[in-house]
Amino acid sequence: MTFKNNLKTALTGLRTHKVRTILTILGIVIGIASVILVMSVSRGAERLILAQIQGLGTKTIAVLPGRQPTGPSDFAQIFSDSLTERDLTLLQRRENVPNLENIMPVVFGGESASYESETYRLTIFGATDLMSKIFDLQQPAQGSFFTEDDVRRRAEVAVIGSEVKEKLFGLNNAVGERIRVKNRNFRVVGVLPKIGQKSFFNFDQMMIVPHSAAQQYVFGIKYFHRFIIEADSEESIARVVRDVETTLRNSHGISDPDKDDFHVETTEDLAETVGAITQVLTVLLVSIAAISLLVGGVGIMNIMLVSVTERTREIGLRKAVGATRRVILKQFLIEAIILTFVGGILGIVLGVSLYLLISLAITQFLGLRWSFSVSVMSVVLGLAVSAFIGIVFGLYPAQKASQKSPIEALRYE
Amino acid sequence: MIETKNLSKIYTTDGVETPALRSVDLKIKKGEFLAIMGPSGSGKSTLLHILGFLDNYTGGEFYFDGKLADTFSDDDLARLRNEQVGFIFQSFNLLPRATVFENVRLPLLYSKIPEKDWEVLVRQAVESVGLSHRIDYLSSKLSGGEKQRAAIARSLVCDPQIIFADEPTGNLDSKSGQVVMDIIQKLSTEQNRTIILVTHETYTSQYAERIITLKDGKLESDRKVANRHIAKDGFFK
Repeated sequence: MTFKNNLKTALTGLRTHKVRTILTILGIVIGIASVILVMSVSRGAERLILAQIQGLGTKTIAVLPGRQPTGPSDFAQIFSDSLTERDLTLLQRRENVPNLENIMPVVFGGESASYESETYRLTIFGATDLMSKIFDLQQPAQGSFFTEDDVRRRAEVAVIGSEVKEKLFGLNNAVGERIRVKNRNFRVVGVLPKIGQKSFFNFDQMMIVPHSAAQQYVFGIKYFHRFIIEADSEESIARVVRDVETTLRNSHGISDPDKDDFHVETTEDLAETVGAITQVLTVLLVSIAAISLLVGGVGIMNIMLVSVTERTREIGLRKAVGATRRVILKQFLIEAIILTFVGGILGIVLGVSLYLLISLAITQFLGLRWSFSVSVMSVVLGLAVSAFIGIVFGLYPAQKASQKSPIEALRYE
Repeated sequence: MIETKNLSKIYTTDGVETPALRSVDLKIKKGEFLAIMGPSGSGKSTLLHILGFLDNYTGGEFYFDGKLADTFSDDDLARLRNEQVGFIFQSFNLLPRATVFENVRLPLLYSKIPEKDWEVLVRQAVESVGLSHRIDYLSSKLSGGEKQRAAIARSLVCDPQIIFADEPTGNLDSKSGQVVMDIIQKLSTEQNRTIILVTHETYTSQYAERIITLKDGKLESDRKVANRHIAKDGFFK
C-alpha cells in the first residue's frame, strides 16, 4: 500500500468518525492551550516581579525595622520604631560605613488628600531629594523636585503622581496649588509623568513629601519606616551590609545578632526571596496545567479505548482482506499523528491567543509593564505530552488488535 | 489444492482446553464446490477459518498448493488472503459508514494491482452481483441480501481462486438467500473457482457438489450430492 493511500485511508477513517475525531482533538487542544497559558502567565509574572526588584538597582540596600520575619505570619516586629534619627546620623558618618554613597530615610502610609471638593486616597511617601536618583525616576513633567533645603526646613511641599494630579486637579494646573492632608496644606511643586508600578510602589498614586514634614505633620512619629542605602559599588555591598549592621547594633546596644531589632535586605536577597515565591507559584500553576493536560489525556485515552471494539473489528476485516500488520499500524499511526498535529496547532493558537488577551488586559487595566513572551518550553511540553498520549493510546489498541488472528479480531466484543 | 492431515484445533480459555477440531483429514481439489455441514459447535466454521487463513491451527498439517501452511510468514498470509482467497461472512462484515464502492475496493488497497485499474475492477465486481444501482450507497443503507451481494463483490475483486462462505444465507430471508446462493454457485460453474461453503441448512448445501459433515470436531461423512440445485439463469441480469 502506498503512503498516499494509507494517508487517504487514515483521513477517511477520521472523517467517518467525526465525533471521535473532534473529541480527541478537543482533548489535545485543551491540554496544550492550558499548559501554554499557565506557563506563559506565570513566567510573565515572575519577570514582572523581578523587573520591579531590579528597578531598585543592584547597589541598593534597604534597612527595615524589626528582625527578619521568620515566616509569612511573623508580623511581630515589622512595625517597630527601632530606626531613629540618631541611627541615620551614625550611618551617614564615613568612619562607620565608608562605602556608603547615599542614604535616604523613608516613611510612608496611606492618607486621604483633598483639593477643593475633591478627595483622593493616596500614598504619602516621605523621602529626601535623593528620591528620584535612587528610584531612577523621570524628571517631573511640570515643576521640579523639592530640595535638600526643603527637607531640612520641614517644608510642606509635595511632588505628586500623575493619577493624583488627574483625580484632584483634572486638567487644571496643579503646580503652586495646595493639597490638604491631615489639616495641613502641602504646596505642589512638581507633577511626575506617568510611571506606573515600579519597585513595588505605584508612583502614579503617590504624593512625595520631605520625610521630616511627613513625620511631623502627617504620621506624628520620630522614627523611620526604612533606610534606603546605595553602596559605592556592587562589590562593596557585603561590606556595607556588615558595617550597617555593626553600626546599628552598637547604637541599639545589641551584642547577640539573633536579637537584632532591624534587618538588612539587598536587592539580591529580595530577588532570591521573590524568586523562591514565584517558583512555588510556578510549580503550583504548572501542576494545574499538568492536571489539565492529564484530563485532556484521559479524555483522549477514553475516546480511543471506547472505540476499540469497533476498531478491532475493522482491523480484523482489513486483515481478512489482506492487510499486513505493518500497514494497519501505519494507518493508525498516521491517524494519531494527524490528530495530535491538528490538535497541537489549534491548541497553540488558542493558548497563545488567550495569553495575548490576558496580557492586554493586564497592561490595559492594571497599568503594568507586562512583557508578552510565550514560553517555548510550554509549547514543547504540551505538544510532547499530547503527542505521546495520542500516539500511545491511538496505537496501543491497534497494536493489540493487529496481533489477533483476523477471525478473533472480527469476533471481538 | 488443499489438504489436511490430522488437523486439530484446541481453544484455550483461562487454562481450560476446548477441542474444536480433532484429526481432520481432508482433500479439496481445485474447482470443487464443497459444503461443510454439521450442528452448531461441530467445528465447521473453525475448519473454514483455518483453511481460509483467518485462524491458526494447533495440531496436524495443512497444505495449501502443496506447501505446509506453518511455513507461511505473516506477510505471506496477508498476501494469500488478499490474492488467493475471498471470504463471505454470515454477518457481512462491511464497513457500515463506507459506500458499496469503498467496501468492494478495500482488498485492492492492500493488493499489488495498480491503482489505475481499481475503478474498473470494482465496477465489474459490483456489476457481477447485480448491485451497480447501489454502488454509491452507504452499505448500512442496503437490505440484507444487498449487503451480502456487496460482500461477495468484495470477495471477488482481487480475482481469488477460492471463495470461502461462512453461512452466507444465515442472516437472510429465503428469497435473498436463494439469490445469494445462485451467485455463489455461478462462481463455481461459470468461473471455475473453488468454493467452500459452511451451512447448517440442507437446502443450501444442495448447491454444492460434495458435502462433508462434522460432528464434535470430527469428520463424520463425505459424500457427493446426488440432486444438486442448479441456479436458474440470469436472475439479476
